[in-house]
Amino acid sequence: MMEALKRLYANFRGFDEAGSTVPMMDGPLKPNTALDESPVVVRMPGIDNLAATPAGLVCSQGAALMRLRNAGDGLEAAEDRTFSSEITCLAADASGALAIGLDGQGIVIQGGRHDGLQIKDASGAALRSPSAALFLDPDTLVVANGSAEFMMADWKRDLMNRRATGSVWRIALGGKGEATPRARNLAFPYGLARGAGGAVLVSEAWRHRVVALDGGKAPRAVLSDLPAYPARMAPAAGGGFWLALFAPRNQLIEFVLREEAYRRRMVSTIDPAYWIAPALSSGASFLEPIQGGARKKLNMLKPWSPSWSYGLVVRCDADMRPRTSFHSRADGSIHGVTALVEQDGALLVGAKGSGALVRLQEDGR
Amino acid sequence: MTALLELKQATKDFRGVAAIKDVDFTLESGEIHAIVGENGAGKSTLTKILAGVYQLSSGTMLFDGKPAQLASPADALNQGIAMVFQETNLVPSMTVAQNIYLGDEKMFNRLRGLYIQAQRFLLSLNFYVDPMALVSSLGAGKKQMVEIARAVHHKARLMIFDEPTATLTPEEKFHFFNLVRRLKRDGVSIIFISHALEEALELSDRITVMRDGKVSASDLTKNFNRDRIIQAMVGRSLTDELYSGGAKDRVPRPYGEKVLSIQNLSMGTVVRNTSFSVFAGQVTGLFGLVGSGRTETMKIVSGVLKRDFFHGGTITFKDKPVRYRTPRPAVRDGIVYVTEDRKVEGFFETMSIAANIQLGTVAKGINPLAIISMAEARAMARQWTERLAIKAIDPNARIIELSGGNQQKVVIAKSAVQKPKMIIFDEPTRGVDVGSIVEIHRFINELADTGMAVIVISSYLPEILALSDRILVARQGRIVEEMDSRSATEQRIMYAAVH
Repeated sequence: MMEALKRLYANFRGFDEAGSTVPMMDGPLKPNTALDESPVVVRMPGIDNLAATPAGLVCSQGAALMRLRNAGDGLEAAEDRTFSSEITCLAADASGALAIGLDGQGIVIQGGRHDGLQIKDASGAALRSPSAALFLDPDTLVVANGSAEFMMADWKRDLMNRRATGSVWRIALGGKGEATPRARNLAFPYGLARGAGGAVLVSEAWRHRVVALDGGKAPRAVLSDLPAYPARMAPAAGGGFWLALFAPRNQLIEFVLREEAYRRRMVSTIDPAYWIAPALSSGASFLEPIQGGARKKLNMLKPWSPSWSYGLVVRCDADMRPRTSFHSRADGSIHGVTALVEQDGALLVGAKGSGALVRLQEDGR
Repeated sequence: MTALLELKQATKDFRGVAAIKDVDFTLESGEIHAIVGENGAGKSTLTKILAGVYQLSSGTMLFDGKPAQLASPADALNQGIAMVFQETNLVPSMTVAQNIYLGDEKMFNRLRGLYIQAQRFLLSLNFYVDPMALVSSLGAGKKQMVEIARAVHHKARLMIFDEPTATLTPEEKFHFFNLVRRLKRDGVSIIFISHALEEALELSDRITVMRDGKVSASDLTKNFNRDRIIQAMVGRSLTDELYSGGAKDRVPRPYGEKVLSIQNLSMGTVVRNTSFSVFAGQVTGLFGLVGSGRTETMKIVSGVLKRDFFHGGTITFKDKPVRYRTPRPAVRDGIVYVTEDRKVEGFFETMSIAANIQLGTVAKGINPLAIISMAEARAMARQWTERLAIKAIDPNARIIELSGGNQQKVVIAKSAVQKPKMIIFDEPTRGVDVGSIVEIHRFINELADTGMAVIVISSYLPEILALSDRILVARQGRIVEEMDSRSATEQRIMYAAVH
């Protein structure tokens, strides 16, 4: 109550209590150009959702499930299957099962002992935007539903309407696919990983944090105050995790998020591509909000300029504390990282925004 | 050259403990004479005797070949001896010009004329200080400049500087050295105490090294080098132990939890939209020239100063936005600031070590009705005296009786008893002898090893390099560069600080 009153007073007087400032990218998040310097192993517009199956690597490209095979120094993609709507998440199990999230249509299981199972809702709630999935064992799947209102393709709308209707479900694949809620009212859960002691780690994008779900307890923040919106997580071979952050926070967005009337009008009248909102890629159109001198000097794009998109992968330790990070800055070309998978001692980074898959060594090579 | 000043068998004791004993000291006319030594070696006592602050217990002092009895600093000044003290002795509520001409006022002072005169005088010394500014509004560096200007104004024949360059920027030091050389050319004799041995070697004609109240070496500067001085000071070579090539050889501590996040912090024109983070389990070095806003930033964080009400930015400590208006809530949350100006902000000089350390716990929030056991306070003081190797007769000794290094250790102990989660050291070794520096550095490293977030503000680059796991450089009110300790060099840091 007091906090709400303080916020109201702060808004009225115009001072920042915890307003439109964003945390600095420093310390382990100090900007570099490691992602841009890493080799691109394949270019695929819209690449997303990397998973390592016993039969090899898979990813998605729109509604198509793609298999990735070695081809010289790089990889080549071959279509495996096409679905009726966009693939929003993939999760692989060692038994050969693949859980495939479909935008607005829930989850489909391909392979393994539950082949062909389709889960459209969880305890009556539609899995409208399955944003991440994780096999706990061959019969148990954890699914993050990014938003109860919007499809994954409409993620910007979910943010700009300041919704927190995401949820995480534990689904027993045997029997009738019973679902147990693990957490509700999350602000766009976008990544899942298995933490220590049976906890499930969830990246909560709009609250810029990673939370741990332990049993029936309330979500516990294990990493917070991030300078960008977190997306997928992947376990690292040497212990700890990889965390992808798909877009940067900036002060203008934070400001717009506080300005109700302006934001409502923007959402109802302007094409989402030109909103003052984070994006997976930017700089393609002169209609974008930030232009000219704010971004360029002597016609060179400033790496530190405010940008709607960014490329960022963070290496975290087992306690989810950042250790080091790999960046593609405002002038870089590996933006909108949403997918990660570690294979053969290297991390494969899927940048949906730039449509590229890069191979990253832990030391930044 | 003839001897301007001579001390023969000079002894000064306090409560039966000799601060200096049987000291023979000679200063030639027009000589620059450096006195170096560990804290507690007796340098300040010696110079205070020369400046009339203390009187000799035994021995003789000759000034101009005649026996001199200096009853007070004013008496010394009348005879042509001026001293610039380590801790400034200016009147904070008066302006710079009024301080310079204090004691030298005319019957009718025309303030405007005074300011113009002071402006000209300060510029002639290459000191860029506003003569109309109140001394209380000046930083330590500028206060030191005013002190020096005041001494020069009195046209003394002997000037004594106690740690004159500790608070000056490299550029100001350059001007100060030129000023000293100019004074020498005019026939003024200079004594200066410095812990920066390079300065003693560069500037002086003769060096006297003191140890345990006695002169352990005195010779022409050309016969000294850094190692010989340190050997004479401490009886062992501390160079390697202290600043062993910066942090190149050691692995920096890993990043711990993000403890402090500063976002777009502003305060007037001093702190301008600065942002950075501090992590637990590390020493974060903060370097910047005087006026770069580093001290002010940390004072805002710890509640000593207030940030701007409008658009003042955000400070998050342990994931909680904070806005402290006084230091007390900051101390309770676990933020402690160890001041750069220990005499004014660090301790109560007439109180005992035990009482001062005990006071540290008061801010932490003990019950106001609680009865304080002085036996417990003394036990706590004894424990900290041992841990930090504070050299004092007993815990009841008054702070004023301690040397600069031991005073600093008391200030650190007073802060450490508050059990902070983040501790900010502002110039922790200013005016501190080599031996104490080692002990203070060791303590700072111990704190970081226990997982505490430690911030060290320092103007001395070797110290920043030796202590820090991560280095932040401030310029014009904001952090402009971040370096890890392995890639940092003095040149890189200084480049970031001035460009």
